[in-house]
Amino acid sequence: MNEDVMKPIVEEIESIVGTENVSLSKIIRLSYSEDASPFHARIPGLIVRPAETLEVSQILRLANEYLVPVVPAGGRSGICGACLPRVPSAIVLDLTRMDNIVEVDEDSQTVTVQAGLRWAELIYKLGKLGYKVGFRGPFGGNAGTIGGSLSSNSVGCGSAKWGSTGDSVVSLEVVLPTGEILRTGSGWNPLAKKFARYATFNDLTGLFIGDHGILGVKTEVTIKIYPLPEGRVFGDFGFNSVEAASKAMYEIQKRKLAEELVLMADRHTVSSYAPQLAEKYPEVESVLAVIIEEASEEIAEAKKKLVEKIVRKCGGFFIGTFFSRLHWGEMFNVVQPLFEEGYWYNTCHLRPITMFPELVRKAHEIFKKYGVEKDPEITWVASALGIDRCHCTGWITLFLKNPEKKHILEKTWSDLRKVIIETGGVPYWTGLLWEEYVLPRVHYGFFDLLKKIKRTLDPNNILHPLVFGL
Amino acid sequence: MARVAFPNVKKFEELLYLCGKCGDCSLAVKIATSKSPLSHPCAVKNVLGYEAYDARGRIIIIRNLLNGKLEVDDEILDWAYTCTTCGTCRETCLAVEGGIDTPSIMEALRHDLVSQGFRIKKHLSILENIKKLDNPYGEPKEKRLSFLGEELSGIPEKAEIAYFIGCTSSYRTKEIALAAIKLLKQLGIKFTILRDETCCGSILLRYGYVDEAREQAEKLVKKFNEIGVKTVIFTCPGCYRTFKKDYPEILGRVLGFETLHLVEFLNTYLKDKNIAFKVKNGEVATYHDPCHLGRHLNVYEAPRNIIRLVDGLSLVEMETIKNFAHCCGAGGGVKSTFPDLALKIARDRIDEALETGANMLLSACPFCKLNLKQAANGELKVLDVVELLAGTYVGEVKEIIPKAVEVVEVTPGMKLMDYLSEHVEIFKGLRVGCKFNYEIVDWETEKPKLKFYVTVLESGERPKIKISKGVADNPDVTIIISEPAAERLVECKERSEYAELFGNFFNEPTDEEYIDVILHRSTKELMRMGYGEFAREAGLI
Repeated sequence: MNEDVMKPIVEEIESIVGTENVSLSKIIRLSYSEDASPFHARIPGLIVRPAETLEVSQILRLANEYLVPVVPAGGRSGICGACLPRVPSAIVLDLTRMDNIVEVDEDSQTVTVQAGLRWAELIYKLGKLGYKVGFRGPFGGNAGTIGGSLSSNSVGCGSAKWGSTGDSVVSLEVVLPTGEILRTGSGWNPLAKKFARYATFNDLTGLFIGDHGILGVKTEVTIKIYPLPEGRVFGDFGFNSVEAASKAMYEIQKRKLAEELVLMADRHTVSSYAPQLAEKYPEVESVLAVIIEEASEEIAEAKKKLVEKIVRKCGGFFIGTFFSRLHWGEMFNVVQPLFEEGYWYNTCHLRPITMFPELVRKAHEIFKKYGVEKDPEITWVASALGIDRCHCTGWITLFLKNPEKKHILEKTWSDLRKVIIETGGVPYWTGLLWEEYVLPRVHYGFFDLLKKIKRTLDPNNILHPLVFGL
Repeated sequence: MARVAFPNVKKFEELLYLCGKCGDCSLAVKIATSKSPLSHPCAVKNVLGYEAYDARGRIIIIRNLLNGKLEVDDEILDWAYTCTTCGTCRETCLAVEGGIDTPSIMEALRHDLVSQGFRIKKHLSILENIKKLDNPYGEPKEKRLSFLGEELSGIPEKAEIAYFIGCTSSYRTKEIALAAIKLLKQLGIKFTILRDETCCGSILLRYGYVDEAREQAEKLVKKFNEIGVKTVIFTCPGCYRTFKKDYPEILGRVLGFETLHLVEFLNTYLKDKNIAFKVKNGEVATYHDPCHLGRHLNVYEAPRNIIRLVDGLSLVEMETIKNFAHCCGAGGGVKSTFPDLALKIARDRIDEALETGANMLLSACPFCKLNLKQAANGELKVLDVVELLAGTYVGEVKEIIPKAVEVVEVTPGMKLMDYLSEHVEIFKGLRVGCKFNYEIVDWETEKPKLKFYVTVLESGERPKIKISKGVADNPDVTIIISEPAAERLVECKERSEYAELFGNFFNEPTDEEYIDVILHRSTKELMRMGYGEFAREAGLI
């Protein structure tokens, strides 16, 4: 059946990318029907692995001709189901072959990469040249691609100072749904370097950030780079309440002192990450891990002193550096060891730091309601990550050890998501994780404009149909 | 198409469930972000490109086989044999202690497929060859040892040490067996060779023919027991793994003799002897870790140690090494089932070797050599370590060659080694088998001045430990200590003082006095191993 639908287009796509990069295989298609989320997709009809922008453009033109849906995918390490096809027989574009560094422009201090490059690889390759990126990638940055992060507004390592993925971007190369190739920022001028995002016209770059791949396929991304730091200091601080820890986090973030700020919100979480630490400090309810990176040791030390002052003022105290060093030294490896607790169900979203304690309180009420608090087969991690100015991620993730208790898990997970929206939380991504909670609340005018943009750019609704209900 | 029962795969149901599908098993590069020599771990997926061929994809597919949404057909059967079972995915995986064991899951799947009649045609002829000719290559069994010619007559029929040649070196890479024999003779070691050696059954196990492999195991173990050997030495890691790991499992008993790879044997044997090996200056070699020797049996340092004994030769490392080394592509039955795929994987490894600038690629496996040499196409020399040693053997020298000269000056690192061997209470709380590296570094350049490692032999208030120079195979942790910090540590009177100072150097390092720790296992796993006690006392956690 699938082959009949796909047959006319397969040969033409093969002539674009080569036969070895097109697959109709049943098991290959099946393996692209899941990502790191618990959601399942419609099984794709065809998997295509392009290597160049022009190939993506030609494929999209063909897709419009044959009216076949196309879903772009990166490393598929996301946990909201953003890259999972919603319609049967879609072409999944596996963009991980597009993983080259196109140019390191030292004049503009930018790097241009193909969008299928993984964050960890970018950090390694840039490091060899003496540079770093600000936002380092999501916690799944081993497999997560730069394009995937951009499409889902990822936050993660380095977000306290550098914000979310989009904040680091200077320019994009995007293949529009109908196949045209667009370059944003100063890239509108073919003679100019890609050094400025806000230039000459309005910011078209932003149109494609967080779009879940519905408005275009990102093929190249230009990101700001910085010299590797010479000063780096760490500090873990214990607090007897999440309110006190959040207050310290807020004050530090207000002054933009840290590269990274991680808050472990409750004792349960502290015990999950660092059981010995929880045992050693029975009075500690929350732990704030602070990572400071600066151009010199003197600046880093000076900032550390300011952080210590804030911590003391908020009633916290120094408990070592192990957690923050581990967190930073094992940059993209901190979540995976938690899989041992069971399959993961997340509720990642954004909220002001000052509103984080309220969420933790309400989450505990929900855990109590469903008996999760005392159930060793459903466990959780409640943490927050400093983002940009004074907001944070609310990262309350459930782990289900015993699949037979999925009904309890589902209820808890659903209540959590409801509460998050009701208390002013905003998911940074949407995907299958959030759509049913988010879409009913979107302001009419906002959604109407989004629809109009989608219709204009993608008249045949080729790219990732049904995402955002479009 | 048919529905199949999966009794062996079902034993792994919990692991299959716990995979968080993060994608690290094929896409991760951890060189900069966690100081691990790991890059795009799945050698098969690196060639075939699609998700179905890495561990995450395999787990998704197997889950669908188990829940009946997918049925076994020829495509599934072929796919099941595209995994080299190299184990890099398992090493990369942090989801559970030791990683999700996809290679074993794939072997369980093959066992289930074979048991229910799903068999690859090509495998049947290999099975037949082993049954009739005692080798998978279809070669005459009476000619197995004929390549040894006159050599054989000088080898006794009985000895405490036996050298097991294996099918590949008996019929394909004979030069490795000849070099091994030459070297053992050069060193004056008395050893025997089974005159009626047969296939160990490794390939049968990799294909899923467990019952047939058991027959091979019974035969060989009986033969070795009959001639009363105490140690069997291998140059083939495939055979070695089969004897050491698989035989006790499928036979349900211990073998009654010790098994060692020749590189392990030599590493111990050559340690305190002034035996010189020499090549003309300027040769640069890199070493490829065979999967069955490295990841499957944790032998990483022995081959490197003996390569370093060769004067005039420098050893440079590839980007992915040791437990994260890319597979050569030959293992797990891939070479015999999909030779083109095996060769493409080997070509990737050759390119990695060429990037080091080495002119020689060494390994310690006939199967790796065969595949890598074919892929190298003459671009660099591909040799087994044993060939290198046999070809560069100079003999016993009275004067110690310059490379082996010990540094006379007592360095801070040496002082710390002595100190730790006396203050064993520092290691209280650690489980037997814990292994961790120390790197004592120049504070300014951060370059290692001395490397040693500690192995816990017995736990207790004053644990029994062994301190050895060099780097441990598959260590739990690496502790980096600047020389000035080491000088201060050795002045500590007792454990609590040592722990406190250790913690200070870690938590509040200065330019000169600092300690850093690289974890090679997850913190949870390290806690279970007993590292938490010291870490807590030191204020690390």
